[in-house]
Amino acid sequence: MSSRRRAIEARGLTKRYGAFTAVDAIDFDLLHGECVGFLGPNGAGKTTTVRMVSCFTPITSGFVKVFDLDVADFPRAVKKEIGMCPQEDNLDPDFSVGKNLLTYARYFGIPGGVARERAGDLLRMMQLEERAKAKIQELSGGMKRRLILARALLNQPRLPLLDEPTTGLDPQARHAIWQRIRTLKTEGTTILLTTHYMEEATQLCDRVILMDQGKILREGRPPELIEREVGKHVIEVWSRIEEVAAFVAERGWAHEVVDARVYVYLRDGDDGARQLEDRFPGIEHLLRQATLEDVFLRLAGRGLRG
Amino acid sequence: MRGTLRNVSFRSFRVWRRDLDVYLTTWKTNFLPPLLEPVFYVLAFGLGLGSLIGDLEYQGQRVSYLNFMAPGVVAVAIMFWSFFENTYASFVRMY
Repeated sequence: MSSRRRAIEARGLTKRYGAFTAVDAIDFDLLHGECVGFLGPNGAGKTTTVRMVSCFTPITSGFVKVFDLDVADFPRAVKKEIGMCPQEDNLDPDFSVGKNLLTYARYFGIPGGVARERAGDLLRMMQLEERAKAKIQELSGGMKRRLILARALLNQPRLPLLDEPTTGLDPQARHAIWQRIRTLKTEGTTILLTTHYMEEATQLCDRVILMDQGKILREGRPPELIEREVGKHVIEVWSRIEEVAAFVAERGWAHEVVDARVYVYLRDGDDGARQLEDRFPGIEHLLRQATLEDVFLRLAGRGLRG
Repeated sequence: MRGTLRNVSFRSFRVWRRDLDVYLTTWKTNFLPPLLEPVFYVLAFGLGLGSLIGDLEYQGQRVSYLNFMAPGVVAVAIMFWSFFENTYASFVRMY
């Protein structure tokens, strides 16, 4: 791990708002060229973490270094290297699409000609070319997200920070953004993204960090994490649950009973399903691949959060 | 204080440029009302109310009500709109 250079190094990173601890002394690293996803429900502390990395939120204690620069001491140098794609839409409603990008480019001291060229390229890449003169209010949610992503890439950051880049988007818009993130990855860009879509994390991230209530629950590569925490398959059963639960417990299979549904976690789901059917002929069940979502629900429980 | 001043970047000018650009694109709502407001006050109070009040004595000189209130109206307009532009209008776009 230490043979590759670190893009981000966080130790004991903490953020408190009064008595509430949003981020609770977390340690994590991002290596050069890695795409790491912070996963967790609303209020897990993902956004607060990103905001501390991007020099936006003052750190309560601990530190975070971006390319070996402490964000508390060198915020300007750090901001030059990052591309912030915030969760909320903070485009400038007083300007057109193109003007938004050009104004933002000025904050980085990018000369006008270069800025126009880059803005044009990014708009083309995000398929917003024809909308360059449109007002922000005329854009759909997906277009706004794409524009915010384009804006985050204007300064050609070595570390784009993408805070829920696809939340609330339709499948087309989501895939367009995923495609763009994949292209960035193949170019070797280090990426930090947050999401609460487990599928997104599985699709894009080399490594995921599961967060809940300000703490890191687990981290690892998605397939390994799934295998380690829940096994390969999940069988969901929703009839005769008491008998099934007893049967499963007898065999020592990992399982959970939630709201009149039994979740059985297995390494070999086919075999498990066969045994179930032999014992309870014609039982209603579903055999499927285990996903990150199962990992998360098992670790963090199924109760609703903030 | 010296530390703070040293920490001011020339790039703050870009923020000002942004506000200027906004001002130039939205001049109909940002430039005209502040211009018309004192004009209306001078017309309504200076001429309208002023004709009812008549002249007044100030430091031994006769001053018409119009001449008495017009500079104040203009000064207040300048103060208020520059205050507004530098507080609310800028701050809401700062994050």
